[in-house]
Amino acid sequence: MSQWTEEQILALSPDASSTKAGKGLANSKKWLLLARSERAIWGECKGSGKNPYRTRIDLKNIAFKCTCPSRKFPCKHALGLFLLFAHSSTLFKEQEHPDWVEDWLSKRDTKEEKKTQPKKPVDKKAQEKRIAKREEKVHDGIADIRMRLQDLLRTGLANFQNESYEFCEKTAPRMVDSQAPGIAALVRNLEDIPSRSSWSSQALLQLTQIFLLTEGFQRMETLPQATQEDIRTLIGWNTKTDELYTLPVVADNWFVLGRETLVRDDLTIQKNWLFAEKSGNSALILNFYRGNQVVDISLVPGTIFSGEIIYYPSQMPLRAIVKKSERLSAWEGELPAFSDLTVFREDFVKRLAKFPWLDAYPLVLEDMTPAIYEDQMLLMDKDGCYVLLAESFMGFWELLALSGGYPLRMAGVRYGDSILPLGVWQDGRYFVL
Amino acid sequence: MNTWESILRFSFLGTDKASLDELDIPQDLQADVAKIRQQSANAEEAFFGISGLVWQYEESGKLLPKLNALDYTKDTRETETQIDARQSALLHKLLGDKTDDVLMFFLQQCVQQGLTVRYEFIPKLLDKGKQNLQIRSVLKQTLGHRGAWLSQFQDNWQYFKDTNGLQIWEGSVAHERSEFLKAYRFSHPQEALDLLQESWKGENASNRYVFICCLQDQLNIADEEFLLEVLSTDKSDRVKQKAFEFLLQLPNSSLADRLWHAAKGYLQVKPQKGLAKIAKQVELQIHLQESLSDELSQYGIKKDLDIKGLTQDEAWAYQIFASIPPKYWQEELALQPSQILHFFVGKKQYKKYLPAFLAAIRIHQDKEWAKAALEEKMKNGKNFPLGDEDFSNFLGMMQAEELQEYFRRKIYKQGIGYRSDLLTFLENCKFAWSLEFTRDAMKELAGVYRSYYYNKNELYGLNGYIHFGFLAEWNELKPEGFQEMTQKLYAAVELRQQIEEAFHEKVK
Repeated sequence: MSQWTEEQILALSPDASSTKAGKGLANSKKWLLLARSERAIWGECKGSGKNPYRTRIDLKNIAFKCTCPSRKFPCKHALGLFLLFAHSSTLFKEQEHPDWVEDWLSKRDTKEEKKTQPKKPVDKKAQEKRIAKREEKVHDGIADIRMRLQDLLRTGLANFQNESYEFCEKTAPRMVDSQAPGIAALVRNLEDIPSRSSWSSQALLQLTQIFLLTEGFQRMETLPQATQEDIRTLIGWNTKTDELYTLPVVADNWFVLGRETLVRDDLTIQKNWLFAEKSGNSALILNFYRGNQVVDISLVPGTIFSGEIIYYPSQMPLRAIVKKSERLSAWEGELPAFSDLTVFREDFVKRLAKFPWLDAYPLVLEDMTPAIYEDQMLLMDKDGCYVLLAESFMGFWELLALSGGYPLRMAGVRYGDSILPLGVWQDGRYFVL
Repeated sequence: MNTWESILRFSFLGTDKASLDELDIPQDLQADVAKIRQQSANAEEAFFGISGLVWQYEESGKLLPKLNALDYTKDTRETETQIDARQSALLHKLLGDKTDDVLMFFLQQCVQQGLTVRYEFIPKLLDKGKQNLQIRSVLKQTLGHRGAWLSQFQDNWQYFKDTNGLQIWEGSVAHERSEFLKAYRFSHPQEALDLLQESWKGENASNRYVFICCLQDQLNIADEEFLLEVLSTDKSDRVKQKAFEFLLQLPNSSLADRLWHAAKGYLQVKPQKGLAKIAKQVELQIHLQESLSDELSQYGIKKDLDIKGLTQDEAWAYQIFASIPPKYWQEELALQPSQILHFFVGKKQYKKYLPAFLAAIRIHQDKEWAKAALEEKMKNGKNFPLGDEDFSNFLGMMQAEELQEYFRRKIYKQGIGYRSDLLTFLENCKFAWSLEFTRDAMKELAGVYRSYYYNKNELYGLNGYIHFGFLAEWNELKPEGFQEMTQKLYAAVELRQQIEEAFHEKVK
């Protein structure tokens, strides 16, 4: 029986009319052929033309292909076929792939392989020139922001609460012009801080981190390779995907703890948090979309896949890409967890020593109970130690309803001094929050 | 002052006003701080380096804050049978779709099967119950013990503990209070009347009208005293009119009797001699007195009511026709309702009184007369002025078999507005439609579709009656614009089917 639920399948639909049409086609009477293999399902559906439409779905790495003229993706035939499979997989006969399915799957496999192979050699001289030009720009940008930060400190931060917006408006674009978008983003983070209760501490910390980043850049050659990569990433250099494919893979069973979706102007940032069953490593799969680009929802929170990921180089590897994945239909394992907040904190401090710019990372905690104290919503461990819930967390009442005052095993993301819960386990089920 | 506080203080003052020597650095860090100062080009560089070092130092030694205990009591662990995964998936969809009527249907299935919802749905359902009193009525059974426990945490959810809903009556907004009163009237008619009487004098005219309408259900002789008082003392004409109507509707209404006897003195209706025995040819004579008696005024007939197209004395007659139970004329004249109505349709000078008869049928909910009126509509079409409100009201008195018969005879085609009459008709077919009936009804609706006619909300109300078997045929409806427009209706019917299947045997 398929592991995909109707809800998950319909979440792939591009719009309401496709959903309705797809549901209409989740009816065996509409299909002249329904077949399956371990890798794929396929079918032939009568259309308005002479020849039936041929629809196929790659179950291993979810993908759709149909001969209908629709520009929507997935089309109603793909949705209908998938829904029918989810409801009644026994209707699909086990068969060898016909040519039109085999050809498609082979092309997909070839495309995946090509991703891992190095591309054509580029013009090295031109590339070196570009790199050198960028380095020069970044150098200038770094010098500029160091000067601004020192000017700020000379006069003191007493007025920063009122002046932060102007500071950010002047400094961030300058950093973008210097091709240091990472620093621009760190500067932009300062805009929200003055409205918070402990603004002075947070502002100073953020300014310190920016300054230390510039220090690190100026002393790059003296630092370990992994730290150099981190600094370059924080400043805004991107590692190219084809370079990543040359790096070693990490294979494990990866549990998708949850997903955050942030929207900034026209940009959608999707954070998929993964946790490895065997090693206890965590990973962040970041996706970026602009405008009406189709959003990748193949990493479904609460599911687990067996696969290989590749980490971006870092002292504290977290961001990664998925190279290979195969969804696991049944899983009875348990993810390694911190027994309480004190143990978690000790781990955090060790990470901080290695990587001073440590921001968000996922974790699993045992025996956490939601609490309310002086109108604040908290998480309390078995020893009574507590941590604040992230301000962005909207699921407190669901969490409390699930808990009933009893401790739960919880997955979340550490953000500063707070935790953003992603999900909890109860009675063997994982609830995405 | 701890180290980080001294760092913060320094940052506020700035290097122009403060010296790094003033920083309160712990012994452990002094060597590192000295090194930083030595290696830095200026005080500002040094400060940032020291700031980073101190922050890490503080973080490593930080103790987590502690609570002594939870400030609430845990829920007791109760064994309740919860809905399964399939049912939960449907509930998740219902809560996202905002289709409260289908959600209510779902919760009623839970009640029937003694199931509670899974815990994660409780907050959203508690929120729903705050706004929707119908849903609120089933929450105690469906949210179980955990729902009762969770309700303590928010003011908005305190209603959950209110066992008889009196908190709503005492402290809520008008529409919630009227919903409560309607429901309470159904289960506790006398208590509902007592509640209303207690607060009556303090209510504004608008509320008084809304609340008195709530007495419609379970109207009984025990209401007479209150209604008479309202009729004689209330300052609002609208409220008085409603009290008047209800008094007339009471079983063996004494007001109707007194009005009848008083009316006979003013208004005489007799079959014309010689023709009365010929069933189809009915001639009536209507004689009006010159003035309206005080007695009639006392019984609610207004001396100075202005009705368009009628003289003063005709207006009095109109009011009398509108108030007297139609069956009284039937008995008095020894004629059938259809004969009487047919007479008024046929006679130009008396046709003006027809709407009054129709109003009387509506007020007194006389099914025999309602049927006669509907038959006249079918015979006379546009010539029989049955308005939308009365059409709907009369249909509401019919049984399913009767409605299906009217549908076969296409009663909705006889009026002025085919489309609106069709919709009114189908909205009153409040029974489970057969597949055949559904097909015919949907075909008719599609047949009158124009893009500027129905909107999706108008047809949505039919979702509770449409046969599930029609879902497979929906895509065949033409034109395509009608299909597009009925997407919401389709989705609601399909959800109901899925709910039925999830809770019962597969429905064919």
